[in-house]
Amino acid sequence: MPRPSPLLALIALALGTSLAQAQLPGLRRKVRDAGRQAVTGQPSQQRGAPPKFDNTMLELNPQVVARLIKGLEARSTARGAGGQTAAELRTRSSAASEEAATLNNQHSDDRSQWVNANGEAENCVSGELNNAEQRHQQEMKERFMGMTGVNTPEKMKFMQDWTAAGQEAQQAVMANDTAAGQRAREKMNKLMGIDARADSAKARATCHVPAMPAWMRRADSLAAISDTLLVRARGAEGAASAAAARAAEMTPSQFAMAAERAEGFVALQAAGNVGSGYVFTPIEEQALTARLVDLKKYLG
Amino acid sequence: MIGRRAGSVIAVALFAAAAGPVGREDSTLAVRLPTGASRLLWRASRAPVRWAETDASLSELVPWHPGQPGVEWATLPIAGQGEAPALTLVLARIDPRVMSFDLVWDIERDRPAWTIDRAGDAALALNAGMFVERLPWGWVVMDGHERLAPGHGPLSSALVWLANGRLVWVDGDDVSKWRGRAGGDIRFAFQSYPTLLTGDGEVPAAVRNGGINGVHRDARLALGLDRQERLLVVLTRLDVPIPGADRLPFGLTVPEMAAVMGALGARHAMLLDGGISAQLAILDSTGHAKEWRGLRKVPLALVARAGH
Repeated sequence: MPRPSPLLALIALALGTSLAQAQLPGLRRKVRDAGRQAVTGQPSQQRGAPPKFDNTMLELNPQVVARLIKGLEARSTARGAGGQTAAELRTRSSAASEEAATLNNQHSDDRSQWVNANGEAENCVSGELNNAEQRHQQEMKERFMGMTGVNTPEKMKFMQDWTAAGQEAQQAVMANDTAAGQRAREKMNKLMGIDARADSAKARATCHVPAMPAWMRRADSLAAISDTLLVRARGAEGAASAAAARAAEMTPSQFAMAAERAEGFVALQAAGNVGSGYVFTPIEEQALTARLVDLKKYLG
Repeated sequence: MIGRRAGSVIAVALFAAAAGPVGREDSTLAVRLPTGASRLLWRASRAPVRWAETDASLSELVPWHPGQPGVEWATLPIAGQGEAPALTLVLARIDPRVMSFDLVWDIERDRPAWTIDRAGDAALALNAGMFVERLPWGWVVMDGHERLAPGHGPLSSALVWLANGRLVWVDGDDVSKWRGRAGGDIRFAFQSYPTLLTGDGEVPAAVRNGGINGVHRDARLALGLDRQERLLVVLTRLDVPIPGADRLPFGLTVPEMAAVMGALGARHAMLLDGGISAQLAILDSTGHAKEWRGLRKVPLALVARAGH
């Protein structure tokens, strides 16, 4: 971000009495260097306080850079559970996503029309099923009313079966067993002569529920495939990073830090090498420059 | 926070009795004043365990400017330490009631492709989430559709934007309550880490006690939600007298960023991908773009526009 020289002077002045007094010689040198650059038009070899190397941030000397490149190579070729690299999975995911997007773009109005029509039809279906339910309840009421009077073997059998199915339904609710509950309801429906599937089919036909167009089915399927591949790609990325750290003989955090710093170096080079001397030591700059072509292959 | 001028309110935060591991550098943060003096904002050895309200002595120094409707922004020079003795904080706060948001997925030919150059007419745009290699690390929901399943880790947080315009902040990695609603009333959601503030301004124990790396300095980008339900964005830039070098990846530590977010009044906060990824664009009130560029293209961005 360009800063006018009065501001530089102000910052230098401000810093002169600030808490950062320990940094003064370095800062004054930087301001001098900036002045030199303004005169010569050439960036000087400006350096800030050197990075603090520790158990996470390793100095990127020639040996470490060589190990880093081994790790980057391992990361790019590591194969996940399905035998594919993260890059292959990402590419397949992107291809599926783009095909889905193309289909959706070709039919952008069609989808909204279908969604609206389907929404209206589903409301209609809901109403029809509600009517059927009320009809069945009325039929059930009439049937139970008809059970009064003389007991017949058929009536006795019905009552026994109905009571048993009712108990099953109750137990299923108490056990929070959805499947058992569904089975009990089907038994009770069968006893009452109710065919839920037939009711649903009739309602959908009555309400003219529109079939999902083939292109939309395809687009939605492609989107789902893209998402599945993406999740697998992210898993493969994680596994590849672990493999890369092993190949580089670093801890995962050391490798992640080294890769991030090397990527920063590559990006700084592409952006005119502005300020590289602040982030990297001379040893690092030499080591990274010597392997820049290799690094660009993975990080460029 | 500690040591600010006499007479200022000192009961803003609860202080840890023995915060800061023995032997760790007692780092400080201070605001650089136009007079050349500095005002101490925070000291590691007396770091609050909870920020209960905005630090009044800081807020009075922030020169908020109007951006597009619903956005305010400011820059604030601060003094850090180590490799980053002089920094600028770029601050923005966003009123979600008058904004609409887009989560932008941008990967081209298997490469992350988003930079602020693609922010267009956005009132504010920044990189969102944390990245593994090329993909986002955590949960990503876009237009109600889940693109990536949640990531897991105790120091993760999530931001959810609902169809009714409300922002929901999720502390921790359990997003199951909201995940089932993808496709329903969720417009977008994403996760990131580490959490900087949780609950109501509490600094997570791992951030306070060295459970995570508390000494590494990097360019930082943080997102939070303040007590007025505004989104708070903070980006660090290195103050060096070299044009274009402000994006160098030196800046604050994680505990220092937690302090900045807490002092600015955030209840919840998390880091987004910083380092060479961090980038932010803000349109000022005249429609002129203020840009703080990164060095890396990213796969996911959060874009805010005025109006619904």
